[in-house]
Amino acid sequence: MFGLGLFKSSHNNSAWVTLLGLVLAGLVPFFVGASNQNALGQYVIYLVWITLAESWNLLGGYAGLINLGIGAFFSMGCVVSSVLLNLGVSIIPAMLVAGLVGAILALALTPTFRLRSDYFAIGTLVIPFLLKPLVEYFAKKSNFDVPIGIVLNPTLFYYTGLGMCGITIFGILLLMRSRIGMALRGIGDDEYASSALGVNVLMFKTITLVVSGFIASVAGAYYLGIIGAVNTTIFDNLSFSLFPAFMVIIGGIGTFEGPILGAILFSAVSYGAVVYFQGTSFEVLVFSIMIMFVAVVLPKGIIPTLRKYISRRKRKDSSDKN
Amino acid sequence: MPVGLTDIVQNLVNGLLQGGFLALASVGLSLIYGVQKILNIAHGAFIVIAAFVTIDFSILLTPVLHLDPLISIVLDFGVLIVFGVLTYFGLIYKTENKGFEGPLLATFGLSIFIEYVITNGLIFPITISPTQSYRLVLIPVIDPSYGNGAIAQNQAYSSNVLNLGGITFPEPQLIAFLLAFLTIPLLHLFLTRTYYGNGIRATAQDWEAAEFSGIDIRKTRILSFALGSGLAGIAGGIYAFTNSVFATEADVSLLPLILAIIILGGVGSVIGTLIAGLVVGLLISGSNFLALEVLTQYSFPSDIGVLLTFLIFLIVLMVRPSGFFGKVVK
Repeated sequence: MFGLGLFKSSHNNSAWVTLLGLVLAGLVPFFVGASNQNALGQYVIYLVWITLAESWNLLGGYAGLINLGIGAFFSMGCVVSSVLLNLGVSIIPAMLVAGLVGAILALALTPTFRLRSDYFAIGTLVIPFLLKPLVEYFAKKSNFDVPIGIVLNPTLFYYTGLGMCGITIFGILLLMRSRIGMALRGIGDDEYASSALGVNVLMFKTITLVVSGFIASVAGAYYLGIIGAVNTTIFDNLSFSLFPAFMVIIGGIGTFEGPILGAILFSAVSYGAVVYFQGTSFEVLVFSIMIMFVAVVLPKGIIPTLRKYISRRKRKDSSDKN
Repeated sequence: MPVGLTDIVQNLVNGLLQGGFLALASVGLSLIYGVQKILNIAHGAFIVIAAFVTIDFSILLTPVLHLDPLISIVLDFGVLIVFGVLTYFGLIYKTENKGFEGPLLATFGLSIFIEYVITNGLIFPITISPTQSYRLVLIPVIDPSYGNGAIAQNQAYSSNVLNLGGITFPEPQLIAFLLAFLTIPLLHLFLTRTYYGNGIRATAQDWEAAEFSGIDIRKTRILSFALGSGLAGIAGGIYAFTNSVFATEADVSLLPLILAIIILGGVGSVIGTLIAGLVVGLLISGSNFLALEVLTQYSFPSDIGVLLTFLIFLIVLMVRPSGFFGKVVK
């Protein structure tokens, strides 16, 4: 409908809505007022999860590789970022270098592509646990923090996060519109058929893993700025590996809106509901029931189910006219 | 630190005993994954449920009925079978045919749910008027420490230690080890010598062929899920004796190690899982011992045992994913 040639296909409306959302989010600091900029800090965590979910969707949704070890890249990003910040590097270059380290890590992990899909999922699950002792051994310490002297300007930090999120979303969108994206979708649909058609499956899988790892590590580097200090036990925290997967599954694997919707929903229930149900941990109950409900009732995720519903309505309307 | 022969043997013994427990914890998931290719993320949560049932048994029933808390392990088996069947019909039945992600997500939600209910119970506050409010208690709080910490289970057993020639065998771990060697071969006999057991193995190998042979696939799936859950119950029951149990362990922390054991042993074989569990137990304690006590000059990180296990796991996964004892799958 709004096809200005920039967003060319069926994702039009969603892409424009997302762009609008990002612009609005960018305007928020002006409304909050100069003295309340710290309030922005609550929302930056959403940006981290959206970015992580997008990264997971690239590998798991489009290319069909269920990666349950994305926490390894994320945690690695935290660690690298801390090291760099302590060396005096500022936050944006630190994030980019962390991303590069993530990309290198992804290259090191390409042998896992030999594994069949469910074994790939299990194999990637243990990768954070492999990295943890290595990091501890080479860094000779297990606490990584933002150095005390560095104060991150909240507004700037917020915009950095928005930039990270926006570039990820639209970068992936453009990637999927390109020939690389076409190859990825083919591989996700049917690896053998694509290979028979001449698609270099290994190369495209590698590209996907590298990009996904880069993004996840950048998100990790940003996350360090949010919480200030991490311990290597973050590698043991399966939440960072599993939550992005579940966000995307809930939202709709392989869709444009799926990761964004899933991440926002997940984060809203986790962080927002805490405020509503203060004093108890009732929101955990709501959270778990929501997950089970979506898994059973909407197995394909929210977006695909919505789309099916809308197209069925449209078909019903047009057949009623006859 | 000078190391003596006693230390080495003690370490091996500890590793074997721990391995026995790990094997017991893993064999249930091996069964479920083998038959239905479902990763029950809530498996760890099932173990914790059973642990707390045992803890409550020994707190509430033992003083009254003077029953040995070990008997509660049988109760755990039964409770978890019921729970497994409920879970199957509630979550798995609808989702298992729709791909890998459905049951994964559902069991993940279940594990969080179980963790919450154990600590807080399923209690809803109902406000009728500003002055009157009731609490609707559907499930009471199971965790007697209300999530504030662990209860060291049953002091009578935890301090019993068998001493043979200078090597100490802590009694709870010994019981876990013996239980593993009792249940797993029994399970193996069930799977190979009975009709339903063979049905399970056939479904695990090729469910369509099994269906053509006249095996009721649905019943087999229910049976394997229930049995796998029951086995988790046994592991949980003894877990309450060997460890202080935290409700927050109902989340997924035990899972990667269990997965490694399942794959290493071979998904089709429970004896393989037993051996893999023992090997992993030995590997972890042996390499921790080597790294921290013998080769201290290299300052190895503290969980090198786990690192080695997962490294070997990944290598085996890539080279021979059917594990040591599993059937080779194309």
